[in-house]
Amino acid sequence: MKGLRKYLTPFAPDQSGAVSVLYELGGILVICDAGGCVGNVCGFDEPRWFSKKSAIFSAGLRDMDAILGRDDRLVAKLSDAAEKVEASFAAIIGTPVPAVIGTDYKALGRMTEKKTGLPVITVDTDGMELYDAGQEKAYLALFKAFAVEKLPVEAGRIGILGATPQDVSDLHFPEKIKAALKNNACNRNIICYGMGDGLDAVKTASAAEKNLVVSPSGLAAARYLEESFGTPYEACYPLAKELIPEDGCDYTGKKVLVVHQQVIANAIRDEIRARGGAEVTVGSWFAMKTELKEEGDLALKEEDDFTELAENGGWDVIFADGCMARMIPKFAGKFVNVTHFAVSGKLRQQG
Amino acid sequence: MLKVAIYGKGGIGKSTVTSNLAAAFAVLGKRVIQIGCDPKADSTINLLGGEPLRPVMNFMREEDEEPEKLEDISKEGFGGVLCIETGGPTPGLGCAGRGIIATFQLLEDLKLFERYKPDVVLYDVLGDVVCGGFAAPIREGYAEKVLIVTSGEKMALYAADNISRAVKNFEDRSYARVFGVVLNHRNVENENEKVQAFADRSGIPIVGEIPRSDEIIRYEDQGMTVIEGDADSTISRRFFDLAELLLSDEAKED
Repeated sequence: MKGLRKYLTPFAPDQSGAVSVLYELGGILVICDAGGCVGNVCGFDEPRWFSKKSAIFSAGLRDMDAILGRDDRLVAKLSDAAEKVEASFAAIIGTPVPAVIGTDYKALGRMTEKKTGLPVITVDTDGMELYDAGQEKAYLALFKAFAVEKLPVEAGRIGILGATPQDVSDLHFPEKIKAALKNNACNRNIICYGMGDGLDAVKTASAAEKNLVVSPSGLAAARYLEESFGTPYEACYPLAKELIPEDGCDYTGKKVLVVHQQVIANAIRDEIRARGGAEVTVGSWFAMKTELKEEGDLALKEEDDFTELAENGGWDVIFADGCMARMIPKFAGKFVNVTHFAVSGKLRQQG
Repeated sequence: MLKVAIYGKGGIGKSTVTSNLAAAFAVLGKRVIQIGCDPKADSTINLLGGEPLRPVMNFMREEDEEPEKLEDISKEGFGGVLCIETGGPTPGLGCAGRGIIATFQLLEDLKLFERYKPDVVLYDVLGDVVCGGFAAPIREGYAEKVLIVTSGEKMALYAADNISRAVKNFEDRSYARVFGVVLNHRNVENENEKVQAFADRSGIPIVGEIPRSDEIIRYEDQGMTVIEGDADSTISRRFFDLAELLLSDEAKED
């Protein structure tokens, strides 16, 4: 049945994705909601909530605020928060209610900037899209607001875009990617935007020699940085090797399905091809960007579609989040667990 | 209880027709409530001597709490007509339609009908059925009959057609039905023929006809309806006729 979920829990919505991008940057993050969206972020969608502080607020919208469009109240609340919390910026993040009443985020941002003196970014998420759409909007809003100065390019400075727990499923990702990239002596300064590195790194983004985009949500910002400062970018996931078990499996001539976010899935595909895999198809529950897509790659929507595809597609190996194994009891091939937080709400086990 | 919603193009004379009807019902001895469902909040002004009423939305905005009693948001006007205005947000902000729904919920909570026990309730609704909020007056439990005010002007007839289609779309939801068209003359060429043609085409009878009259404007300038100004005038007679027609139809249904 279309839309019926029997196995997968609901995926994080776009406003949660936006928070994920901004979480570590030291801003006041105001989710323009009645309270439930913030509840989702702190309860389910943001694993850093349990280990790292972030100033996330709910606008606490009430029925009459929506009816009367009381933007001034939000400005007053935010200004009050700005006096009590030390913050370098504020972000206003949209949800379904302001979307339905046509809230003017740009105006709200300008009013708040005037009142608080803080730089304010607004993200017009509407709760109808998935986390990756919100991440994409937040990255773009962030870099457009703060990466404005053209600085001299620093040799060996590499920017990592698109890294959030939702997409990399590993809170140790920044250390790991930095260690992996520093194996190449040319890479002296690795910046992981939004995971490990703060707002100052964003402000000096134009100094990067190159940007690596580790999830589709970072692409639009990478394109912006390329157009504005000429910084080249490449969509890749340099840690793909650790996602493929070293169990002696011979992929030669094998038919393989990889289900993950598109950049990680593509990286696994490249690795398997290098190990002899004959036919590798990528699928995702989330964005499938045309520029990262190969012929035959699939956007997944319904659980039944995945079950049908996995059980009747003649695959020898399926790479997917472990929670999806129980969706395909008739699949007789090899199932490899590649944790995807956005699918299962689980982080990768540290080995 | 007779419950009627009055719709029509903006500026066509809905509030004039509604408040004169309310005054006519009152003179006929009925207990009447008129609820203006337009953010402009000027539906009942001519029942109140030209003194505007504090709309529900203004109360909520200024007091930052719900009114505790009906008196906070209503005022008795000519003939004891209980006047209420939903009002709305500052133009360009918020959601006026949701405001109407919230006001209706509030009036229910305040037990308006149980306490006031009206014979007639009139809902004067903004120009068109633009969203769910503006259809609220014709939902089950509210108005059962719809009057569409139109002139022979093309855009007024176009709006009238839209409204009648919207109401027909709601048939399977047990919403109100269109009772008829009120022709509010603007002295357009062949006005009767044009409105009659619309009525025939849509199968909606013309149930009232208000001639173009300076009398109405003169009394409105003094903050009153023509019924209050001169109950014996020929214009007033037209409103009494329409009120009596609605009452007799209601009596037949009972």
